[in-house]
Amino acid sequence: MEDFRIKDEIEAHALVKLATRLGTCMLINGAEIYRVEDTMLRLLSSRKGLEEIEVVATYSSIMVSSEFKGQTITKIRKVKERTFNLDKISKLNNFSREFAQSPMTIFKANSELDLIAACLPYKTHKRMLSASLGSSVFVLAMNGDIKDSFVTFVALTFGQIFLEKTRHSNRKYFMETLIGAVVMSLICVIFHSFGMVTHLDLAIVGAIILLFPGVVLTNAVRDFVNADMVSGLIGLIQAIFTAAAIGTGVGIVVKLYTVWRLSC
Amino acid sequence: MLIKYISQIVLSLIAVSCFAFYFNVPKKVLPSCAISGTIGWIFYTIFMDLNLYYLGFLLGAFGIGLVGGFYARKYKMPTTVFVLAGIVPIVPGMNLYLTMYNVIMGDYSQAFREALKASLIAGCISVGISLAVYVIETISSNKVKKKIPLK
Repeated sequence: MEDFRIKDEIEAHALVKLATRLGTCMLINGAEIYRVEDTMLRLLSSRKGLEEIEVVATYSSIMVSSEFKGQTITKIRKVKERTFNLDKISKLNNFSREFAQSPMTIFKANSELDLIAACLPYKTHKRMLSASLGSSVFVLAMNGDIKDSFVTFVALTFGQIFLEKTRHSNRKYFMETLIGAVVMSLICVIFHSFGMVTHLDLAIVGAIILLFPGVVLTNAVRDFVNADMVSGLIGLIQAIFTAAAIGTGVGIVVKLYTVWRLSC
Repeated sequence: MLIKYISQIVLSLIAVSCFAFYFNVPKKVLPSCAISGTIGWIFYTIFMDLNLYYLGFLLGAFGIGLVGGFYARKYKMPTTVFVLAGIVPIVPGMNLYLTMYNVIMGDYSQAFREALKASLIAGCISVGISLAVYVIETISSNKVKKKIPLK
């Protein structure tokens, strides 16, 4: 391990920067907190010379602090959004192991991170189609009939296209979820008014299943179990607010629809 | 009965592999994801039929975690890759949504019931996965310990 010693201050700074970048990339693509912290620690402690390494990650920020020859190096990054891209997580994980076990230069590591960050395994329209197909099959598995499943497919496809076309950077998760829920339940309700849906609840639930914060909530409880209280709280609050957005969107549409039906 | 289970297996295989595709799982391990998710869903269905509500979630998540952990060792990838798509069909998103929906509709007692259900289910699933990860880690660390004295 003697070859892996850090030469000068510039290299130490570059290493901390690399670790922060890796951690941010993992968090944005949906890795768990303990995995992010482990990976960053592995990266930083693979080169001799840094002391008092401390990594704190939550779902909204990353903090790294370390000491090199008496000087403290600190980096803080804010993480604004999270999506799920498991291909990138597994690639980043493998990359960190490779970096820790070989005398790779930091410049080369950065260019390899660029490569991983740029790659996208599947095209967006294929992902949309698979989401629609999965949800419509899921409606069948929950004892819906073929009509519900078809309406779910149509609603989810149109909803995803609508969200993709109207996306802009100022719209945060709450509005995104609310608008998605309104559009998808509106399509289900329109089909229902023509008598093409047997179970309206099931069709709506199928259409918005991928907006559900169930995975976020489960991960939050896992963080609580792993004694990661701050991350757990952030996940819990996010799950509650996402559910509020969905409930509001669907509630508005279904309430108006029932009022309209009664008045007719 | 048998036909029902077979159709459930086929449907969940398709659904879970579609969700896995949506989450950008590498193409090589898509079938393994589908298998782990299907095992979880089958556990869940069997225990639902036996009227063991929360145990179904716990053991379903345990099955997903166990199979996911096994595949994670085999392909040298993080466990999340195999677990995330599998738990999408059983996570309590629907209960959370019903909570907020009932609050908006003014049915507070039903909303409270759903909220309690959602938190209990989330607890069951996370305990199941944590248990599976713990079991897998214990087994694999035992193997390592056995190897060291031989050298």
